[in-house]
Amino acid sequence: MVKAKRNDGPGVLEFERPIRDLDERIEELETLRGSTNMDLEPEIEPLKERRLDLLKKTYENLSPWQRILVARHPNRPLITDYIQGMLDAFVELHGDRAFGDDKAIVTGLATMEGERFLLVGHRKGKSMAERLECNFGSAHPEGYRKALQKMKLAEKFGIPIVSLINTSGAYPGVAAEERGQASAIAVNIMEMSHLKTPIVGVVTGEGGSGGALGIGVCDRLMMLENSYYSVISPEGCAAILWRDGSNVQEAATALKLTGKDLRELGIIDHIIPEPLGGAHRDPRMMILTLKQELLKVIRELRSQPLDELIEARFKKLRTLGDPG
Amino acid sequence: MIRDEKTSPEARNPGSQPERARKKKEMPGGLWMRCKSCEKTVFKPDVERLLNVCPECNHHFLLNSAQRVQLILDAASFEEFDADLAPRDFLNFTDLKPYPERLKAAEEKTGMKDAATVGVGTLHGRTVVMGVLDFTFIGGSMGYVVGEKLSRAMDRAAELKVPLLIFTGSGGARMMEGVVSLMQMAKTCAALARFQKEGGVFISCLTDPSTGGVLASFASLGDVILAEPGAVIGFAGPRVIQNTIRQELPDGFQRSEFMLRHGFIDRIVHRSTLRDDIAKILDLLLGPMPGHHPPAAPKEERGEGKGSKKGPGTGRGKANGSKGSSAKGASKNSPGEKSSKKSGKPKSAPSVVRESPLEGQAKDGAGRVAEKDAGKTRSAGSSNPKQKVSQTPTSK
Ligand SMILES: [Zn+2]
Repeated sequence: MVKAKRNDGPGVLEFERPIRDLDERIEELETLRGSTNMDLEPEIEPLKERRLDLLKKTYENLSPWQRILVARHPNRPLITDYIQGMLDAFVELHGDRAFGDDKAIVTGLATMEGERFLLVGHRKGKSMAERLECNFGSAHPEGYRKALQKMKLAEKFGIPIVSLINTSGAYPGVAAEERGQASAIAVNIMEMSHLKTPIVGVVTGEGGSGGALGIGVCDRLMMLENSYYSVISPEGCAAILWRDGSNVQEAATALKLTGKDLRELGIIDHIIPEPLGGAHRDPRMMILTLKQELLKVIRELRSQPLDELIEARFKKLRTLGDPG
Repeated sequence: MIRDEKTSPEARNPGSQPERARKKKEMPGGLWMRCKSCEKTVFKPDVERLLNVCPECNHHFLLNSAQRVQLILDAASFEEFDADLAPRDFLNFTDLKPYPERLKAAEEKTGMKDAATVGVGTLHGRTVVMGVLDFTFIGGSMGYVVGEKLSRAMDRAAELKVPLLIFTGSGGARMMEGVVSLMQMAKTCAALARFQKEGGVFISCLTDPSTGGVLASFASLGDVILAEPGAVIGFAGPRVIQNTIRQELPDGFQRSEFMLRHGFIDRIVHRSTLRDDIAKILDLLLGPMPGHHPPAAPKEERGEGKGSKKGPGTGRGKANGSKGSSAKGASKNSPGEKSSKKSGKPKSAPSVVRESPLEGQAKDGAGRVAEKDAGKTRSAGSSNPKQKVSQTPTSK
């Protein structure tokens, strides 16, 4: 109840504070009503309307940088939530058969409403222990190689692939370089460009450059409404081009990294709407929405002859950025 | 990931660095230059005669596209295609300067419309398609035009059924083209997959620097991957890595020798034998060209003699050491033996012949280029990465 303390809470973004204040006011009145039986409806209702208005306005007008903050929100559903809330069965398969098992990438066999597929995705982790264990979703080469090894399994058995992308980027470290981060990503990109099975990609939070593309070459690329996809983090871009990391907002805007921008540039196929006020306000709803979208796309891609699908994928990749 | 701009402020602002001004004062007459790697003052004509390689420490300075083509292909055999393909400002991108202004400045500086040069030529009589990424054009970064030209080069090589050679000098993706530039990684990989699946041979040659999105796409997918000595080759920028691990980076980190040791490149090839080695590899893979004299066999030790003169304790010396130790048998020869062997063998004639075209170019300004390259090379972290990290003013 002490506002000043909650200002620094991890779940409240700065631009959401007015909404949070209204939330608290409503909560206070409701508590009061509960304990005193006073008729407070005339007070509460207008507040609720104001809150809804504010929420709509705020989220309709998010700046690219604010959207990035939402994409990184600590309460945003992560791959483990989607696995739990969306799938009827999931059998995780570990390891790259060469070096190890990178926990920053999850791979496994899944079913959902009768559709079988391979799920691949970045894992950021919920608790601090988990986050450390999977390097906050930044994969090492063995993660990308694990993904490829399982994707080839999917190809062999004609199972579609669903790739849930959520990484700030591939892990930048000495060991990652020693084990060939660039090579692992390059091989994945090339193999995915002609893998003989349908591939659906969804950026669920952060689409961080090569680390995202390393499991992100696909037939249909979708983005959640408040996700972003960028060639470089706005922080990195600001540090390099503005010579000053504090210009993140300008960099975020200049990079054209939102779903809307990328839809206009012809890079992505579809934007998946989020619950009002962002996925973190209603994870259950978000999970259901994604499930429906995935089912639709998987069924659509499955109905296409594989040869045509692969040819269309190639054409799409080969003409990326072409005029007209 | 994208180090072009960050590591080469001079690429944008040539001549504005106080360091450069100071250096120019120190070196009147323009016949002498300071090597950015060993810091020794060297005679520029010597550097040029060695194909832009430092006579003291063996450091390979940058070559621009024209010099690279001249170095590798048979004289006057190169026919460039798609030279007019010009970049577009997809995002209306503006940082401290609008992207079109950066493009214009780069075009004025290099005479090119973008960083890639592609074309068809012959190498020891064999037709090849060749592509070069020129670091002097916005850090050799890959945007739409680079991705498209390289993909067309792949298509052309597939159509002609000839080998493809690509020489990369690139900091990575071009961030001013946003995700469009990221997607060029996918485009080039897709085009390359088709070419290679049809039996095409792709030789990827990594020169200083080859990093970020270029390395994380086609450049790492060569049927054979070669690298010039001492080139910076890696995925993430050293500063980013250091911010993550909060430790000093190991000596020689992300250099050709490091990549060889960890198994990601096939051979390190000195510039003086690069042309002949590539021809030899093509001969061995595809069978010799009828009626053509095979070049001298690749030699691991060639061209290292002078570098090893330098005392131990510097990054460069160690780099050479590690290469020597990885090349089986090379350590048997002392540096002296190597160089006498080289000059004594008539078969090394082709590489001597190759030196003259560049020398010729020196007359019309290659000396200036060499000096510039030297400056850029240092700022691009080709000397000790540790040093660079601590010196970078923007690192916080
Ligand atoms: Zn030197």
